Amino acid sequence: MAIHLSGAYPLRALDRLIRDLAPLISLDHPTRVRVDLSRLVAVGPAALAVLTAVLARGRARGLYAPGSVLVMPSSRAVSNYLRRMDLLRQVLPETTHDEPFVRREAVGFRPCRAFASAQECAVVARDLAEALSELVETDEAARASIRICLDELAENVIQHAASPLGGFAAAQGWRRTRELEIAIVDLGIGIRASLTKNPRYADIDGDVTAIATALEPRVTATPERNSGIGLFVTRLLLRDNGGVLLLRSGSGEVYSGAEDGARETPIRFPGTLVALRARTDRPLDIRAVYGRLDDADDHEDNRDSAG
Amino acid sequence: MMLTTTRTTVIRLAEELGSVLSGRFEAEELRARIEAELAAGAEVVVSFQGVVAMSPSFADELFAKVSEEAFERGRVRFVDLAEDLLAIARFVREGRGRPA
Repeated sequence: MAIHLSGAYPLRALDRLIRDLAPLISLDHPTRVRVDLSRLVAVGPAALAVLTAVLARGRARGLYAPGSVLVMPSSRAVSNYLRRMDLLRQVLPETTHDEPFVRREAVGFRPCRAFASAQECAVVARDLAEALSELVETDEAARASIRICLDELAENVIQHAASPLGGFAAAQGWRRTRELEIAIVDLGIGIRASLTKNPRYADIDGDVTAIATALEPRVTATPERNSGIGLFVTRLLLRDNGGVLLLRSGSGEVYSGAEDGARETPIRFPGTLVALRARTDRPLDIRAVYGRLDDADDHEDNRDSAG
Repeated sequence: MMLTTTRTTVIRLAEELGSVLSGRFEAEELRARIEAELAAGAEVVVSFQGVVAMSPSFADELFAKVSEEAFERGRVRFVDLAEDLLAIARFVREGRGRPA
């Protein structure tokens, strides 16, 4: 089996990434696999987290037969980026190297991190928030907000995804565009299967509806344990900031930002991807969101009345 | 006549957990500690002095699940809360049908 990734995979290219990885995603028996990244030009945090999760799952399931190989990008910059992000530790038994890699501690970079417990969620959230603050200018409120969002999103994976591998998180900041992007990925049961465990949402039909519902306040698969406001608060935070929150699960994608949107995706993604993109030149302050929570209750009351 | 005294335990969150309170797991441990103190007959004061922000799950675990009886009788008190922290505390309590 040959997988080729070529060109750039920013957040908006998720369809192409998932299509290109589809044979690997559906792989269910040991096979000699060749993953060719030689023509890869750029990869964003969301694509990196998806790629790492898919490769790690194959490895955990023993699906890579002897002779499987990962061909690293021809571009030295991209190759070094992937190595810095610790992709190599997650993946195939053999990897082609054009030249030795000398590890350096680079400011703003942290590996694409795996997490499988609540304690690891907290460590990953703190670590990635610190990494971003090294790379882009953020104030105290923004750093706190980023850490809280990361922690909430990562805990969702642990508590709802039912994924033996847990989740994968990656983050990157860009000084020039004054943006940061965070992605959390799992290959678990997906939002719809999780949410319909709660009898209140058992009739939800379709992945888009399930995702949109999960973004509403106090919606959770496990009301006895969770409050169901982590995603909702993250959504308000990003909206205030001028950023974007994107959720992809199963055959659905919902994004929330200056404009909201939803669509059925052309190819199914097994699990859940949550990506947030924020501006660092505008306030990113979860405390301001909390100050408006009473409005959220009014909105909820109106919706219930309408229903 | 016999005099009885009540022990008061003060938990300073910023000193123990930092200025950002995040993570349900940490909050679960904190709640267990509060409830152990209450069970031992102590009163508990939880100070938010120096706390910059708190996650929804931390707030839910702490404000919406701690013993309501102890809360109502003043045996556990949350002090030094900024307005935004009060707002998230109210929100999670209302979500679980508790008085704000």
